[in-house]
Amino acid sequence: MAPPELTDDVVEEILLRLPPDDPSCSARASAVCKPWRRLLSDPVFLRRHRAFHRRRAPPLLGFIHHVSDEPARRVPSFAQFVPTTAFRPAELEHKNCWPLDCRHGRALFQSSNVELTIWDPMTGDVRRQREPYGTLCTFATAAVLCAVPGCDHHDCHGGPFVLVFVGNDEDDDGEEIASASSYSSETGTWTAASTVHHDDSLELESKPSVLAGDAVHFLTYFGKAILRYDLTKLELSVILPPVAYGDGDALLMTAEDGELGLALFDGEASIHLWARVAGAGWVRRNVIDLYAVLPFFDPVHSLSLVGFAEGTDIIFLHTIHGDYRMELKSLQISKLWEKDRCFNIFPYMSFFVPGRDRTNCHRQQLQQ
Amino acid sequence: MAAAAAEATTDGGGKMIILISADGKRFEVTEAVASQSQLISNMIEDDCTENGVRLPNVDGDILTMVVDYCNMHAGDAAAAGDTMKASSTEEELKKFDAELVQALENPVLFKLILAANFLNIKSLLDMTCQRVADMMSGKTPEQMRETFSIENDFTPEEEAAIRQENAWAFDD
Repeated sequence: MAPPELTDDVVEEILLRLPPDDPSCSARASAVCKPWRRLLSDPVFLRRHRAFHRRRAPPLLGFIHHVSDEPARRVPSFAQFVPTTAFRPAELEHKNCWPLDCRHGRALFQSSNVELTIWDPMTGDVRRQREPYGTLCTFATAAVLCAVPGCDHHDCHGGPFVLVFVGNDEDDDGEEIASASSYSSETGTWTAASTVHHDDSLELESKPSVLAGDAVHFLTYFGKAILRYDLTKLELSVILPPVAYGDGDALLMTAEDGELGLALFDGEASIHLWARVAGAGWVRRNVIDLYAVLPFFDPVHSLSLVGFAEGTDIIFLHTIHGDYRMELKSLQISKLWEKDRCFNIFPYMSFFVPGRDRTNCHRQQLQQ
Repeated sequence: MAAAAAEATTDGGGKMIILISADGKRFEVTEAVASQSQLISNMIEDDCTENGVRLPNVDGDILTMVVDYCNMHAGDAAAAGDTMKASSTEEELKKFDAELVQALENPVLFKLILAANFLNIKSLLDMTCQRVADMMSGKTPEQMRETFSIENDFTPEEEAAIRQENAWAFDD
């Protein structure tokens, strides 16, 4: 007996229930027929799909990290895309690229001494942008973010973006100085640099930056300071952490209410979770006992905090037994891979939209 | 369950209505049971169920399933006040729902979806659509077309381009 033909509204109800964490399902369904393909890439349907699955943050589709034996920057290395689902970008490797950031569906690389590369793994789109002139930088890093106010970043591929570039150096008097400026793809220009002086080292970590409120935050080595770049005032400032552990490690994150958060490994057996609360400063929210969470934990072999998935409560840990993901609320742990030499990873989070690739013209033809 | 059903009958759901399937089968159910269908609930409100409710889109065998489902789930509200009973009922309901959709062959499952959609029974529509969505996982586009009796309206060139675009999704 042949199945009865389903009405359009019922087909929509079914396709609405395809799991966002398995992009291959939507990709295959979009190859079934033209009406399905149209529906699966329709913005109204896509909004319903995300609302149905109650997704605030897009699913994690993979990680971007650098592959090199040499941890120093500006040496030939390549950035690799490590998938966590069936999704594969057109290119898995980017030669001579050092990953700096990944946010709002865009990855950011340093691709030469003076050039940044912005790559959209979903569409394959690559943009190149010179670093700002005259920025002080023995060491520098940068952040990328969508420039559309109020955007939910679920499908802002190809839209305007902002880059924030921050570098540090010593001035003529031997004092630490950091400077930052931002670039808008809409105006095509860098803003004038904003600088800040500091008594202690401001050497930047190559860890992911964190967007919290109207500011991008960068971590300096050993978590000794946080550089805050205000996206509205275009001003750089220094935030001191509540405490810095010499033998430990630090990672920027967002706390539960979206304010800036900081995870601090104390070098012994605990991770302390702090939040920067308006009007109250740093507030300790939780302490995680590593003996209770990691069955193999041994303080002799240190552990590092290597990444955070923005919009979630997931952080990534590097241990001698491999890399792990940890959910901070449930304290669920799962192993990513055995691999070592991975001291920073940038989660790539995006909803999969069928037809969002270089063959855009072709997709439009199909929809006519 | 018997107690829950009895409570439902006395809790103002006592009035019976008749549902009539496309092939003329008649089902006598309480208003409380039938009201899980938003369509019938609206008809009850409008006082137009006196002479039975004709459902020309729904076959008798499908309506049997729908009525079983609604009878089973009508206990929900009645048992809600009693936590002990509510938890066991919840477990029973889950088991009943799982068995209902697991056992169905596709053509029947699709008819049940269409009936749930027509009668506007949200929970039944949700459960049956979810079952079909789950079944799509791991299927090729050809298998999906077969499942849904859909004709391939792409030209071979268009289909090749689509496969090329997301080649990773088609590595079987």
